[in-house]
Amino acid sequence: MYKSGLKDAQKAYLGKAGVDEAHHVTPVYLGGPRNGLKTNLDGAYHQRITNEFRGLWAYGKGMPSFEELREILRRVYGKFPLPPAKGR
Amino acid sequence: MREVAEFRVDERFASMLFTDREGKRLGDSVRKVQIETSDPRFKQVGRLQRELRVKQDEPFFYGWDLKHEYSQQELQQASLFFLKSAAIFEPPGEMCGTEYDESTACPRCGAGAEQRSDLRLDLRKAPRNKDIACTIAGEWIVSQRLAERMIDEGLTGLELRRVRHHARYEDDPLDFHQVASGRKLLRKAEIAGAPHPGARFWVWLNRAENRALLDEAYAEYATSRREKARRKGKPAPVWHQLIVTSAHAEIVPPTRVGNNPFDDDPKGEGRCPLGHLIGLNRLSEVSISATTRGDVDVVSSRQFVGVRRGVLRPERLILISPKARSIIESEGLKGTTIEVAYLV
Repeated sequence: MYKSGLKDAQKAYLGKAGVDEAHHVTPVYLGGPRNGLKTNLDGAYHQRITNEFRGLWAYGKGMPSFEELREILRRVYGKFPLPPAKGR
Repeated sequence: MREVAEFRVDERFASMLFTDREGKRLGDSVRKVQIETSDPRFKQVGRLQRELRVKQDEPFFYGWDLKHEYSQQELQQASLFFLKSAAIFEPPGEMCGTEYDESTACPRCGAGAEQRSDLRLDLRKAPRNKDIACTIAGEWIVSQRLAERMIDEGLTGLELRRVRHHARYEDDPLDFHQVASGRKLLRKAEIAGAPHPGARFWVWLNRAENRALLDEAYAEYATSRREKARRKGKPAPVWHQLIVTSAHAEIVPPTRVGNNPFDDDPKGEGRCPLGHLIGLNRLSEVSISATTRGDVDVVSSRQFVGVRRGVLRPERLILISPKARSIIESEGLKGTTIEVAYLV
């Protein structure tokens, strides 16, 4: 699922494909900690994940409760799983 | 006044309440739907939210917003306004070196930490073509143009302080080919059988043993960018922090604050027992006690709304006079939404 998602994203966002971007697993705009868990992602795949987060919860539109945040994270990463990161 | 609710509805469940033509699809998983709160379906949204969570452990909607729209007459007759929102951006000050004194914050809710340094922001990320903007942590900034208007018109109740630019190159996208340590990392990945930019590469990159080289690549990139910026000598755009000097306005009923339009937080989990933080989100127009209004053009609320979570901080609500509103909205100054507020 991650592999096919990455390929699709790299086709959709050619200019971002192959570029490294650090991704906060819980986005800081939703209250993720500054020094929280980060994963390095292909820029195109990162764009897909960012779009999904912003679609579910727009920027600057209040704050989700903890329950709502849990639902958002489950939904996004159910659709766009992060690359396995053993040893981190 | 027309109150419109916006919901980010799960596309799989949208047909339970909305026709296929209603709303705007955002990708393939969510639909942005707007309905007036007087629409009978508004309450159905709340009912579906509760039912789906119980039956399927999934929500009907995720994000939401409440908008209040006014006639020209209502706007002209209003004596107070609420500065609702602006163009939002990140990273916030705390991630750019702005110092806060957490010892001054409420020990129960975390609200009210005093800012102890100039506001430092990565101004490359501040919205272009806007005159007023706000970080995700509630730090308000205004453009040079708007700052001049505020001063020239003699607005009271505020201070403007220059924002310091602090670029966070470490957060920029990194093209590995641009730096020597990045190219070294690519060669190492190739040898490991994880060629860039395939799926195996990103798994390999996130292994702990590659962290040091990745950090080195980012550090090298940041150093080169700083050097380049220094050589160019191009100044950062000028922004000023909007400091509201009076925080006496008392938020009172019928103002609603809670978790979402269908959840007023009856258990008070998002409220401070000491009275600083009154909830997670504003759920209505704002009313303040008339005796606490004062006579300045810009005043903020005594209480806070929001949450101390990560770099986010509870925020005071900013209220402005008709004069301040006319300045902010005149001459095409862009970047904010203003609502009517009430004196009770």
